[in-house]
Amino acid sequence: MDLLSQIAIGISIAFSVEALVYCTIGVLLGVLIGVLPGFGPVAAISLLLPITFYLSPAIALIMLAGVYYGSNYGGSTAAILLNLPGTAASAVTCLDGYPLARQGKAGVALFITTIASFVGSFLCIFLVGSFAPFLAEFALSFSAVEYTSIVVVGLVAAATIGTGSILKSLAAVTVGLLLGVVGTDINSGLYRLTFGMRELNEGVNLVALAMGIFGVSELIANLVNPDLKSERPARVTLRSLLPSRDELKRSLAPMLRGTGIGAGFGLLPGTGTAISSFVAYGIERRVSRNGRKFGTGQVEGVAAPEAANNAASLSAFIPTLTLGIPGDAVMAIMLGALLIHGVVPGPFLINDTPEIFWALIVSFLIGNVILVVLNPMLIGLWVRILSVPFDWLFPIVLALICIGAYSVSMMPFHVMTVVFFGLVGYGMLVFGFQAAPLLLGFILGPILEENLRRALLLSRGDWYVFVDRPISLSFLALALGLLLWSQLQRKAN
Amino acid sequence: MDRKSIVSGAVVMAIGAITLHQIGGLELGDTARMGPGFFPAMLSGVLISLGVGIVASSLRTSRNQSESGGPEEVTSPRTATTKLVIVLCAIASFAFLIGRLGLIPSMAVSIGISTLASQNRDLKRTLILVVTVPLVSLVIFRYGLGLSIPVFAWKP
Repeated sequence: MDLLSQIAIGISIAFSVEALVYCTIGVLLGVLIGVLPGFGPVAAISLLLPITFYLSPAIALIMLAGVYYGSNYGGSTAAILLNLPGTAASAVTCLDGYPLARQGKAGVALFITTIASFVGSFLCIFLVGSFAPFLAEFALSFSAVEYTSIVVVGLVAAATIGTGSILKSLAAVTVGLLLGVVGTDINSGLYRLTFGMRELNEGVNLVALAMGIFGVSELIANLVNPDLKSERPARVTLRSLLPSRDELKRSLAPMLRGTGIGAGFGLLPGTGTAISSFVAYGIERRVSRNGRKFGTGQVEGVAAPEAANNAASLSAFIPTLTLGIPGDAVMAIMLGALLIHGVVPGPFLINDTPEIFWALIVSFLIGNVILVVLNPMLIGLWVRILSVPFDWLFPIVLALICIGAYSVSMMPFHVMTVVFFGLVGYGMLVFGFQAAPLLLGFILGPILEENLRRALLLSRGDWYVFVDRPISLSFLALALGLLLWSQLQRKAN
Repeated sequence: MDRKSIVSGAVVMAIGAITLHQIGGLELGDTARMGPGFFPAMLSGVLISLGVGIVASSLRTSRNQSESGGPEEVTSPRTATTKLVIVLCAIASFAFLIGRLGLIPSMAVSIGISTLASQNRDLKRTLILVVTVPLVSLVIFRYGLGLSIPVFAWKP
């Protein structure tokens, strides 16, 4: 099947009624959850995972992706209106977005955000579409040895993002790997680490784990440290929505620059969207004419990071889908969702099930259009929701967690798993461990073990093979480099 | 001395040790033919070393430099623990009751318990939540998504 007919099939799937409906639902839910302070895209996707079980893989992915970039937008909305970032990536948007709101230009900031996000996603779609199949071709020549090394890179990268101690993040990764071991060993049929509990024979449940570590622990953290709302949300009138011509013109170049930066960072496994926004803002400040006035409400300071984080969100799908190496926690859950549906990410994904890949790419476009169209109308709604006290919200979220966990296989055990990992997650928060590396370890564990075993089988137990083969060697060198670089970074701070 | 890091390191080492113990019966095999116990044993070893490293690095940092990995403590540790326990009990109660009493009662109990974690108690709010949330969940999950969760049951 040639490329054009693959794309055509993808388009037909993405434009089907079912896909459009679920894409819209995903986007709206995503914005809603992104707007709520305290719940990031990871928690959002974890909570909505059970719902996707009843959908086909393509539709499930479309919906989850919609949640993902919807929540990015929601986070930015909260950042602009309340100076409270809903997501890590939108923390940067507060810097110039909130001052704009205080000047009565909240609408302008929101509009620029929408456009910048759209531009970032739109341009990146072409990048993904053209680069990914090429990368998949290249990856077909990988053997188990290269796969092992690239998984190692992904795991090391996961451990080095964020600001915590590297040792602790590596420990989190390793615990995640061990959690992935729990269950039945494929090769021998023996039970490993199940502690005698029959329910663990299938392994730890991903949904329960994700909900517990991200959802429950965030919930508890928000309860324990109630968000101190700094100011009342700025008013947004429809007329104030439109930016002036000058402002639009000034935003164009930052959007393009941001897109480039985001696309680049998203590609690297292990770096998330937050880094892209920070870097884009920093660079824009140095490059822009109004750079010195950043922080007082410059549209460039909103346009660049917003374009960057959307571009990064999209290009992060490339390593996830073509190599099976997720870039951050969100991608890890996406990967988990794919695995649950029986779709194996990796070079074979594009070759065996091209319709899923292209449907997803096209749906990015559709989803962003939906965002652009619907959001100006719904901003008033989001503002109202922002003022709902947390005391009303958290029982609702709790209910979602309970039912979501139970619905996975109608076993109370999985709900208790959520309790267990909620405790673990909160403990990790308190003691300074990052949760995302654990999740990545959990998802990549089985892949790592299988490839390691195969690689050593083929080399008859010779570990040297990992440095002997050039591609593998470069991956391992990259991993080492990442470790050293982030260690230096931490020393410098 | 960074106390948090020492505890963290100890916990990490403990996890490694427990794992090692749990895979006791499994064959390790040799490098060329990895047995079921090989990978987890390797990981346990890595964990224990990392745990040692964490403890060691905490001994080196002085008191002033102790890293702030956790959230800023606005509330007292006791209140925090209480809320933690309440939320976990709320979810656990759902797990315990769903099979025995069905969706509505178990959800109601769960929500009821969770409202205890609020900073300011509001009986009206609690009652509204306890009544509406189970019903809304019923609509969404039973009728919206078609999950066959029993609404009411009696299997104590």
